Amino acid sequence: MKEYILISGICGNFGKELAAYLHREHKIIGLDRREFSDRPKDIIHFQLDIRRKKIEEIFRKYYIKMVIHLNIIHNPRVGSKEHYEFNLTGTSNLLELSLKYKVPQFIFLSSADIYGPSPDNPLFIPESHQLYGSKNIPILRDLVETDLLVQSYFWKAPSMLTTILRPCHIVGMNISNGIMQYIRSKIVPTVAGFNPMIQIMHIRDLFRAIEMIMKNRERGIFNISGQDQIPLLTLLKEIGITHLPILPLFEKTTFKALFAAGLTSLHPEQVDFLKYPCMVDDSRIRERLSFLPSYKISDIIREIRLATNINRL
Amino acid sequence: MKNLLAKRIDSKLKKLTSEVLGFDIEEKIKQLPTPVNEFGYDPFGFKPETLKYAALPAYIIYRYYFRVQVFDIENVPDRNIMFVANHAGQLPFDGFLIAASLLLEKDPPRLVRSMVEKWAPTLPFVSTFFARTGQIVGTPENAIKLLNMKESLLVFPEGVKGINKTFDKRYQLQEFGTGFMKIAMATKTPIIPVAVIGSEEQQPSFANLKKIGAIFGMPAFPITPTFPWLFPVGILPYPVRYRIHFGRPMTFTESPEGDEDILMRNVSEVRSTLQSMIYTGLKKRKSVFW
Repeated sequence: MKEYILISGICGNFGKELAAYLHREHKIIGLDRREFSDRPKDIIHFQLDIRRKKIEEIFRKYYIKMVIHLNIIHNPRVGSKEHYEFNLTGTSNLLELSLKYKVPQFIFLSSADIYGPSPDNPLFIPESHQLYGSKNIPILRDLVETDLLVQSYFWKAPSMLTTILRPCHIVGMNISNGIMQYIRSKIVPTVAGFNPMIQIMHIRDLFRAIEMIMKNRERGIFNISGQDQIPLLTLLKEIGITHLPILPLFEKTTFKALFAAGLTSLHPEQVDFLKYPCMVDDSRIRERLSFLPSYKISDIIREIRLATNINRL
Repeated sequence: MKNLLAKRIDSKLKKLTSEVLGFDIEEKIKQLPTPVNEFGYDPFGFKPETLKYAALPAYIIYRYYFRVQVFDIENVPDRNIMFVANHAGQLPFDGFLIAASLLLEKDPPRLVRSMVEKWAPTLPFVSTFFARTGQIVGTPENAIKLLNMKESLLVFPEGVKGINKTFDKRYQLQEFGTGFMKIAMATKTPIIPVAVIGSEEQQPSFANLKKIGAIFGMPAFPITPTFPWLFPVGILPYPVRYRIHFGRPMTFTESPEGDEDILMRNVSEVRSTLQSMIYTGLKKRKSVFW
């Protein structure tokens, strides 16, 4: 019997790259409500919304050895109701079906953002830390709840190897996530007087980590980060971006105006990410799986520089 | 043009710093054991290069204003270490001078890291300055991580009770917190008691009007010979002579999960050692100012 890996959210740039990384060694099934353009022939794709009951057919028809759940809406311009409904109902549906059809392994890609940036954070936040992300940033509420929902399956379904990955900012040539959109915005605003340390990691390192978790059949929560840390302004300077420092006194109104005008992708509630650190302690994955990120910050910066130039041409 | 000007200022400052200090500060900074990444930062955001800008004013205050004398600095080993010192003087010049002594007088130098209050990172510019000069936010996780990286940490277990105490309680150690001992035991870090003589006289306080302090959002409101009468100049420390005595390393190997009695016994051992070092230091002192 053929064994498949089901990747939800396969049509995003991230999903496509992950599928391209895995499809030579594994049989892949894609699940996404979007159309999969330039799909490799050996990947089976279902253009379905993960909230629909109809996706049960996939589980019935194919033997799924693993679900990699990437289909989460992060875009702050999408309404909060849609966020909530899609992320929680969709994740719950996938988890229920995985449990029903005895899928051996479930990997969920969460984010380190849900720890929340805060002045009193430990500089390197361990997995056991409370998820304070939505305390000051309400738009992160559904992401925190989705993470907690997946956590509940550690106990609900002890036979299913459930793994939650909380990576730092992921960057890559074709990625269009929060940090890449912020960097590519017409105006890159910062808050004057603040320059927090941030972590970035290359998408290939994350794929390697996912592969190691698959092979070692690890369960639980894993923070993942790149090799090093770098101050935000040094990162922008090295990429060659001119930033616009906003005086802290006017930060709320200015960020609201910039966001409303479509000049920046950063939601006004997310300003704390430009002021306070939100970095993770990744010692668990380093110790348990001997995982070491292979990309140096300078390599990553070179790639971002290339990616941002391509987009500006 | 801007770069050229910055380079000229940098080289002039470097020359002036070397002339006043009598040694090359950049060489000293290179000897610091702190591991930095390809951009010159350690994981906490400390950039050793920043110290070369702070070295000159720090040296002038250290050498010519407080005329610091250091004793037994050779007791400090080249490994992770926790310095436990007495705290006094309304403003934390004691911490600054201990850090300066380890950077300027010890060979090879050490950069002692201290833990700043949790509100410090909310202040624009100040937050960045603290991070670049090696100060970290006071959480146990940060302290443990730092000590596991073989760095050194300065703690004042008396906290605000020590720095804001009135002059009648001078050189009497206040109650110690136990957090520092838990961290030292968890990371198997030796403790070096550091007796600071001189801090109590830099701004002797006769009363502490806490309620008035609370109105201004201050942890204390000391009444001293010059404060609040000559504010803002009156808050500045008097040019007393500081004497800093480094004790021998004390090692505590019991498990951090051990019972509270062991913890309290260890804390009390550090406290009594430090208190006796303070008394010995006071006996040796001939004058507060000379």
